[in-house]
Amino acid sequence: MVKKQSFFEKKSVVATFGVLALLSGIFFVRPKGVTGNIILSSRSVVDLTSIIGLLLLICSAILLAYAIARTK
Amino acid sequence: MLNIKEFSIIIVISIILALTISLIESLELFLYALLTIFLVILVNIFAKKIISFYLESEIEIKLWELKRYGFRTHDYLKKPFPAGAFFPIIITALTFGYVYWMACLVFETKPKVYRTAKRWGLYSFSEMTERHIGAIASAGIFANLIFGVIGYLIGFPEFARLNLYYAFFNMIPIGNLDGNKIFFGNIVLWSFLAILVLIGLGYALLLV
Repeated sequence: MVKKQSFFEKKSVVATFGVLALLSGIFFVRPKGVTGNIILSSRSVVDLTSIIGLLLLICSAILLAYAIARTK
Repeated sequence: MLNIKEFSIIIVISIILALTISLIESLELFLYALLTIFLVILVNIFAKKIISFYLESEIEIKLWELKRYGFRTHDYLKKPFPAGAFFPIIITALTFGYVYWMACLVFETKPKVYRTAKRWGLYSFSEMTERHIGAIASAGIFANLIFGVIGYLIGFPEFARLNLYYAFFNMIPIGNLDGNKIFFGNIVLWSFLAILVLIGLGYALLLV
């Protein structure tokens, strides 16, 4: 009996979302003009958008690992 | 669709969340936050109720309670701690109003008696599967995301933002929250939803 494949389990869809998450993660995690002079200001180097970017990279790793591990 | 107990829990949680979000700056702001939060919670719950109906089950909304405090088998609290009611206040107080904790409600699924008859075939069963529980939980998150986009497009940015915050906190895979149900039901679906929620949240924080 062939199991019906859902939309979210198709390899192409998973891989596309993985790449999308990877690109968005890189966009959010990128340092915004942070130089050595950051120590002179009270601004934190790690902000909330960087954490969001990191979480996006983790999610993209899960999806890309799933897409690569699938044989079909 | 909602019984008195569920409705009263939703009202209490709406008031707590509205208090933490508005920080009692003004009565108008509090009432606006209360109405918005109430709508956000209703969107989430009704989506889950509709999907549970189609999966031959019914859900009951409850306050999020913590019962375990450790990994050992006897690490249980004698009385469950109502984390859903206290976490928003504690987190807001600890972060001086910078972070609003919005994951307060959980649900329990009960299969209907005719589930076995309808789920016929090779795998005839009456119990709820992890996958179906995850599907019900994900419906609420999807609904919040869709209403967030609609709210943004029709000019209600605060409604959109609160939908995203609510979805984000419910996606955290801890305790009995929706995120845990989706995570153990279907990790790929959890990753999809997490990506959508995080992109939406990043957009809301950066641009809106």
